[in-house]
Amino acid sequence: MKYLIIVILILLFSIELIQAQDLQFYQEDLDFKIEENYFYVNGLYYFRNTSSMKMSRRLFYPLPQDKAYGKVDSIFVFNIQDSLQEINLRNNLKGSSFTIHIDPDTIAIYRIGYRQELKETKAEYILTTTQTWGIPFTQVNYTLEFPKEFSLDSISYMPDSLREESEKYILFWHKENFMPDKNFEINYKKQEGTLNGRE
Amino acid sequence: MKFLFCILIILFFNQLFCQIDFYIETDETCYSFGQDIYITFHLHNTTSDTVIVIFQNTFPFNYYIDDDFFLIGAFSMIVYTTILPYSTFSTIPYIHTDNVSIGDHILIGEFNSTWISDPVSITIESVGVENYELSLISYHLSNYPNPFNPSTEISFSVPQTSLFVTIEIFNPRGQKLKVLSVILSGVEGRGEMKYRVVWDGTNKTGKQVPSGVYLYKLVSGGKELATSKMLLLK
Repeated sequence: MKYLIIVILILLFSIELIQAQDLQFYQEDLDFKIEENYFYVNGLYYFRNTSSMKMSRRLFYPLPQDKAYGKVDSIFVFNIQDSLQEINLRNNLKGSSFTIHIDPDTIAIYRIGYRQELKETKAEYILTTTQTWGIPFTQVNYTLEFPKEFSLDSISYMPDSLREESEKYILFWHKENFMPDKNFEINYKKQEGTLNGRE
Repeated sequence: MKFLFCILIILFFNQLFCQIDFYIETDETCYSFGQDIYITFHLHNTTSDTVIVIFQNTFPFNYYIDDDFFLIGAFSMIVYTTILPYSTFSTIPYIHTDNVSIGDHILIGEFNSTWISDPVSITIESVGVENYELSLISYHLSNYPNPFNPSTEISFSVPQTSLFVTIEIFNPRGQKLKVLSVILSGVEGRGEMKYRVVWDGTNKTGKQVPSGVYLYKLVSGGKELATSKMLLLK
């Protein structure tokens, strides 16, 4: 009887391993915005279930931890095919977790957003955890919006293009076959009265 | 006893899903894009086998093509082949160096429709490239500050093989805005030298260019050696 239990447990473990191969996180479209003392993230996250079984998986959504960052005072998750229903989150100091459900051989798109207080003049979004999925993104699209009075000192990824509007800049990234090797980090200065803080 | 039985079952399952890992070992530090790399291996099995060869990059592995930056993830290249017993197989020309690099894992096993199973006994015989026009030089092309306003310093390293190089600056539409010439100094044959040149954010008529992402290329003898991007924010 005990042997049977062990065999069942091992089989379940094996099924879990096989299922892990069938769930793919293959694309993300993220909009970042720095405004006042807050960093806003609003993104679409694309998952694919290549198996013939309905799949449910609890995912961890990490949030940056640093003395430069304050509280995340709002975070939400929606399945955009069922946007009336907000998904329950379990939060802890390092991030939030939620369960996704994907029908067989289909995709699911989740919208996740949050706002984080910035105590200093830097902002960060965690990208490197993508490596745990084992495959690169098919494509990603990122934008970063920030007011013109901010002087941007550094960005961890050079943008592909820029749009200048009357009060703000918007930077754009498009990458294919992309596996992040560093987080999305922005360092800036807040200065007023000069062109971007520099003469 | 029960514990031993449990271990044996786990080992059985591990064997079922086992992969053989090899490392590519070469003396080269860098392959240029598009080179055909070959890996020759020898099958020690007594019967013919269909073998799957998976080239799996370790993280992070980056390479550059023009201004674009790529990272290649796992399981980027798969080769199926049938190998006769005790025969030697070479992967040419199936693998391109955009998919494989030093330190990458090569996983080899018998092909199963869903997974690699029952690893075969294989020895990597040799690794190399089909043609040896290897790009072993890193030009360390960069600029600081980046983002910048109003000017930035572009720095690079080049070997003493030509008298001068140019930095060509392009706008996002691909139009050439300015060419900065740099006369190379130093003693010929003394290896790489580091150079710096300042771009003041003007075009060839001396007019200030607007905020935007600009591309710059290091060019020597009409040959493009390296490319990078910079961001001008006014």
